[in-house]
Amino acid sequence: MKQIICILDACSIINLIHIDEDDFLLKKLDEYIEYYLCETVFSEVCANVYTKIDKLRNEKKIKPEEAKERKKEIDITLSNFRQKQEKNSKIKTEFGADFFKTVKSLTNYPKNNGEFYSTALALYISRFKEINKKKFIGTKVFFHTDDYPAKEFFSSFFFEQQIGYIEDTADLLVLLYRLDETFTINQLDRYLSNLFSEYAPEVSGLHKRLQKIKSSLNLKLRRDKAFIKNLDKLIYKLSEFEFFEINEPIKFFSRNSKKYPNVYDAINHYSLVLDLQSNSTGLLEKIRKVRKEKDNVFRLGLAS
Amino acid sequence: MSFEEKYHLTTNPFRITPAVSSEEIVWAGFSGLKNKFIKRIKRSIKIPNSSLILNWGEYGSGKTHAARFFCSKKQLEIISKEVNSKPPYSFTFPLPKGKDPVYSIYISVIDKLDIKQIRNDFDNQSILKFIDLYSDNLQVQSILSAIFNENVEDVSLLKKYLYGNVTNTELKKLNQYGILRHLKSDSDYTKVLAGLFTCLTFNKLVYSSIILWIDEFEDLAILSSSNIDKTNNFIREILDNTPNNLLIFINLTQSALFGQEDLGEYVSEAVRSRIRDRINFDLPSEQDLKDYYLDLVTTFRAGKVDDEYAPFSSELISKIIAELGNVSIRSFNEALSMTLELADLEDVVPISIEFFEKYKEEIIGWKQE
Repeated sequence: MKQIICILDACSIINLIHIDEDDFLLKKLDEYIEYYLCETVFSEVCANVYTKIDKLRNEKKIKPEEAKERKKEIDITLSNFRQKQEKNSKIKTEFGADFFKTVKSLTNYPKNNGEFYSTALALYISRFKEINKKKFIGTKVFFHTDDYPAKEFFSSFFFEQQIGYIEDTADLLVLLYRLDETFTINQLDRYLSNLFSEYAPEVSGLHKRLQKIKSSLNLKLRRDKAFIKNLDKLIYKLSEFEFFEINEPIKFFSRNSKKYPNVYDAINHYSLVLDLQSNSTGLLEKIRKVRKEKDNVFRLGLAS
Repeated sequence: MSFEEKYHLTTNPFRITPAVSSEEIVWAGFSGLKNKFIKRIKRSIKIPNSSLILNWGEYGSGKTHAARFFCSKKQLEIISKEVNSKPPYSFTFPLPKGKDPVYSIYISVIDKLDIKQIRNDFDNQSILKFIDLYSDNLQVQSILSAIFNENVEDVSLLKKYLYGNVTNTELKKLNQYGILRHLKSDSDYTKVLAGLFTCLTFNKLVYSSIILWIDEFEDLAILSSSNIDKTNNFIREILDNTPNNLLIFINLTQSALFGQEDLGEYVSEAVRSRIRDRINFDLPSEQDLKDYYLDLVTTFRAGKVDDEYAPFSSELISKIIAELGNVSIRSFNEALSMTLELADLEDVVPISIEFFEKYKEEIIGWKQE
């Protein structure tokens, strides 16, 4: 019987789909992990999983037939995740119609998105002893998300409610590596590198686009103190791969989207960067650290 | 009064995005750096050996500018005339960041390939004879022959084939020239490029060498492992398959992800061992910046002036350099450009230290944060 229960967020699922090679990760996930996702997350996955391919296609980096082929492959993979959905209506039946309202007031989270419903699902699973006729008593639940602002927001709730832990996709990869002896260290490194390059090109792309915008500013904008301050701050943070409070300048440009449409459009084009804001070690730094220290992961049979 | 009348300059020479076309782009100051590139390019024009050169510097130090300047037809013709030779054929592009980096590089080259022009430039018979002996890969041989052979009349079909966009029915039309299958793998693309480069520089008769200038190479650090491997393999293979007349420059900007110590992590030993020289774009000294300034304003000078530093003064330039501290040439340009534009707005001539002081916060305010 599988002992580890995980809830997957939309960004983690999308990342897993994009970094996987020949369904290797998906098979390991099915083999070792009892994983679930809420229906909101599944809708978010369906809405966003093709964005990367559409972007590549629009930038003419892949041919139309290849884009079609890759979308077809994703459709097949999606059917696996569809089966793992837990419906909100079912949770309401079990825990009462007010359950989500209760979670909302306990967390004070303002949005009704995948991260919120995943947190509610985690609470539900941690309190319920039987899911799909499988019994779990007191098992801690792992919620995997690469949305760092959400991760940091809900972490204390997971701790205080003794639900379990919030981890990212890098942690999930290490977990699969340590659970499966056929998962080699080179594979782990490759998947971590693939995960890194799901985000890093977005950071670098936005950085270059903003630099270009800055190079061709008219005098009026260059004299606009608030604009220059926020643009410089954003460019600096992106160049340093530093994501502490990076959403501050981003929020400034969102608030002033009509006044500064070029910058706002650039941020929208590279929107994955929004998930990287972090008050501690960010996702990209974490992946680099895990790659460097991967040899230290203790695994039976590999101890030196 | 017009800008030109006020400042005796044809345009604002410090603008980061130049208004001029890449053929009219100018080089100012930094003569040591310029000579290093000229020497390298002359060597590739005269000597057959292929080589790989690493250009290293901080953001804004002028690497992309160097690529644009030395890849312009005009400059390459000037340099080649100095050694009485034919000019190189140049390509410049940023490191591809998509799924298929080798295919992207290949497409960048095909985009620039003017088949009709090439056929005009080359003597049909001797190049076709050379291609017959070039390789034991019949597919590559047939593709090269088709590019150079005037008898292959449907040039647009050939170009479509090179882009990988022909249908099987269209491919059948190319069968008569020995082209029997689609190009598919990275190895195919690399071999076609190597063959093309070798033909274009055949006996250095039309083009003396090929210059490939890969900008933003530091982005290697953001690619997935497999794309890092593909890019490294491409550079190794293209150099191995084009042993003569190929000069590759790679521009590397020091970044948070790619410091000097990371070179070994991302650039394979096979590529590093092929690097023949390293050209450093060091942060400029005060004298470098002053020489640069004088050279640039002289190039864009309109009419006569009493002070060679006009519309600024030697003292003001020294002050701006001191206020900026150790900065890149880009930051120096940004400061001068804004000062000049503000002065133009207020019709201030000449630009004094007092004027700069008045707007210092706006001009270099970011430095103080």
